[in-house]
Amino acid sequence: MKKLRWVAVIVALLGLLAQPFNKAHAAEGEARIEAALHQGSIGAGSITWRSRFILDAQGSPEGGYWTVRLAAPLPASMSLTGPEGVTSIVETGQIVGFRIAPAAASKRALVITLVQPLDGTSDRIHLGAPLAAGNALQIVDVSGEDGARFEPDPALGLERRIGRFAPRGLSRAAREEVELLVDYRPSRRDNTPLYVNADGAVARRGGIDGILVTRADRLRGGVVGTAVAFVVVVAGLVIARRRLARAALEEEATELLEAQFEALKTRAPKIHGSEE
Amino acid sequence: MTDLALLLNVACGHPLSTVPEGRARRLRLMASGLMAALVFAALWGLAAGSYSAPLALANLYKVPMVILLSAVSAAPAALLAWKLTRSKEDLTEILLKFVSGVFAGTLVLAVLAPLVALYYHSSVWAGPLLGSATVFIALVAGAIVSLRSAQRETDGAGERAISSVPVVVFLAIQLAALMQLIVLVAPIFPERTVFSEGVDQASSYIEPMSGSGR
Repeated sequence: MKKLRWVAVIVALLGLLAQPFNKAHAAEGEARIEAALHQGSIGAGSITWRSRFILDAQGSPEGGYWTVRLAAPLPASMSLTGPEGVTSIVETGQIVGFRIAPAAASKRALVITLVQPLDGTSDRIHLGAPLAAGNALQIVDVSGEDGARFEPDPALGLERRIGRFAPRGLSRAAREEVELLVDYRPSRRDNTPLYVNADGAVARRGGIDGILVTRADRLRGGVVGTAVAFVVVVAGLVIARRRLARAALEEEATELLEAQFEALKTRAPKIHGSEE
Repeated sequence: MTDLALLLNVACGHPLSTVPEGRARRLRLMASGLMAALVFAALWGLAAGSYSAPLALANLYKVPMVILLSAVSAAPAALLAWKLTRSKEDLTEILLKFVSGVFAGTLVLAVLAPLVALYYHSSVWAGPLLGSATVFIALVAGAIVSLRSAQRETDGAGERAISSVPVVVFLAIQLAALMQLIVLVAPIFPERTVFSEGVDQASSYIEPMSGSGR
């Protein structure tokens, strides 16, 4: 038992010692990211990504440039469209990061725009959001015309919650902090943004995979159900009316007979009286 | 007196005691009223979609479907409210109140349908506005008719309030169902309207967007 305690103490000390080295590694020209927002707009045959990175206040550009490393490389087919002073770092034919001139940054915020081509042959897509490496919480918000919505692969471990997908155990405070940092407001109420830590399953799987569900796809089941229910209700109404028509006639006839009997009863004593 | 004339009388505020008391006759009256409401709704749908032939034809079943299914989906909750409030009214009486509201609302739509069609063909902006306005007018008319019949049949403020509960529940649920059924069958109008995206769109008008408030 004592041995185990000692092992735990040594491990904790090693962890503490390793921290400055990690920070030093991050400081070597790499910008440490506190939060990021990636807003993808689905257009005809492409997704336009506008990514806003919030840098750690303690960081400083190295060699006159900020460098943002990506958690998962992006295909070189993606084109960087702005702003000026931002260049892609390409290794083995893939974009692995960005080099950003300080002039392109405003205070602690770096904004880049990328265009991801879509082949459009399948509902399954791989999001080309430039997720920064590290454990910073990042928001990915994809929206398109006709209410198209992205649903991540369940293997990514993102839970569906009301109005968002987020890792299990993500606190409201952490979510609100990142929203505040990147100044995020959903463009539409039915948007379902993804809150991701890029150091977990997302990095292991090389980014975010999922399916694109259009508004028409989502509503299809409901439309069919509604139409079936309508046919059933109308048929029921027609049948019920026919049957009720007969029952109503019987009711009317009974009422009429009862009224006549009542009339006879009231008339009968008079008749008897006149006979006497 | 025909079923439609009886229903019109109820809609005009005549007491329910003027309606024959037999259960089958009252249920037949309701079935006739709902079927008439379907025809009225189809007429309005035809007018609202008259800008394009496919839309007009689709509206022939879309609008009646929205109205009928919203009423049907509201009925169970309203009947539960009726049972829980231990209202003195008979089941057929309470159902008749609901049906008279639906009948009156769709009748309003039907009588305004020619105007909607005329404006859709002669004005770019007034047509859609009038189309949306007629929906609101019909909703208000239906609500007034249902509530008035609930008020008329009872004595005393307490009883009147109790008797109004099922009708209010019916109206609230029907409105809620109506909004989302429209989303399923949209488009009804050629333009995108406040109704096209249901509660998602309507809530963005009511409450300003806020990231942390989600």
